[in-house]
Amino acid sequence: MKIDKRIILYLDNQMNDEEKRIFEVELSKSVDLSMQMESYKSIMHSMKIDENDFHDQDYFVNLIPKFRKNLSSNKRSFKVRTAYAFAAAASVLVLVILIFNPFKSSENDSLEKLISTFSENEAVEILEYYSDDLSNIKTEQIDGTSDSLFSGLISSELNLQETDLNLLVSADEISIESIYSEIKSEEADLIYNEILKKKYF
Amino acid sequence: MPEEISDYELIKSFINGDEASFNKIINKYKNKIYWHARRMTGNHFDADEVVQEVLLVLYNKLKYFKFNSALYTWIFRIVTTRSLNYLRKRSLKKVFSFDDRSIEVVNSNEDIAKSLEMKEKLEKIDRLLQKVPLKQREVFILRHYEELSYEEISELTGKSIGGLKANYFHGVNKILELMKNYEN
Repeated sequence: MKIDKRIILYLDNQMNDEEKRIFEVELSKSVDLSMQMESYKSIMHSMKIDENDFHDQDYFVNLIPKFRKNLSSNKRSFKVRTAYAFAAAASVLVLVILIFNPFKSSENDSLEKLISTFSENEAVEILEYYSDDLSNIKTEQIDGTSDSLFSGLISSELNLQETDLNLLVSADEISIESIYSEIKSEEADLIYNEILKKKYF
Repeated sequence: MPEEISDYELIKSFINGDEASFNKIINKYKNKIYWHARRMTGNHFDADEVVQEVLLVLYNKLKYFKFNSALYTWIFRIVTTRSLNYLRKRSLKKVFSFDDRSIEVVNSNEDIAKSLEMKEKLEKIDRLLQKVPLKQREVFILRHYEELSYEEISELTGKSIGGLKANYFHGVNKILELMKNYEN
């Protein structure tokens, strides 16, 4: 059966008062329109179901327990995902540092550039200025690793062979004062003159 | 209105850490949530997924609810949005054939209908509604089943009342046409 479109508008309350009045007059006179109205109502009614009688209550009873279970698994998976994300980010960062090593190269380059700009007098002044700080380093604060590092630096600077290294004394075994006391004044003058002759920069 | 005061108290209680209050809110609205999602998605399997998603959203967002509208309007908005998102995802998966769940849904005997007769009736309605274009279906469901006013639907969907009325009118015509074909 064909349904008059005005029935939809009328039942949906989309007509203004005038349209409604005209339609109602026509509805009261036309049997066909009345039948269409009943047919329309029947179709729309068949689209509805009584929800409360219709469904199995088990689903709704289990709805919240199921949600609670999902909620706890979601929280766990979020933690796992976060941990994986951090691990991946850390790995990428380490790789970038290992490959490009931006800090070390730039630092060395800038230090070398800075030193190259100093004149001889400036270099001597800086050395004298910072020599006070260096004299304040206490030998007790130097650990084994630093000690071996210093030994390595000194041996490479003085071109010492391995046999010469055996002649070096450890700072732990003998104090600076005792070394001073054993140096004679002629030896001290000789060392001082040698240092003055040596060009460090 | 006592119902809204009750919702207010339940939400406040939930915000203060009472998990049982959340269960009470859900128990109050679970039927509406399910049936709206069911009509939008067209089967129990997908509706259940949407319902679980909606509950999760409610659990996380309930503390931000400002009572500018009724709680059920806000819940309907969430169900509608989530259903639409779900349908978009489902259609994309179908296009790219990522999802073989359509077979799973068809083969699944799991439903909430009590009897075979009820199941058949429900499936008929599901099939019919799925053939109605999405915008028209959305308005038809909210108007016909949830009996919301156009003002409420407008607030919920953010669409103009005129547009909603037009969509409802076309939706009903589409259903009449489908019913006619179905009977023939």
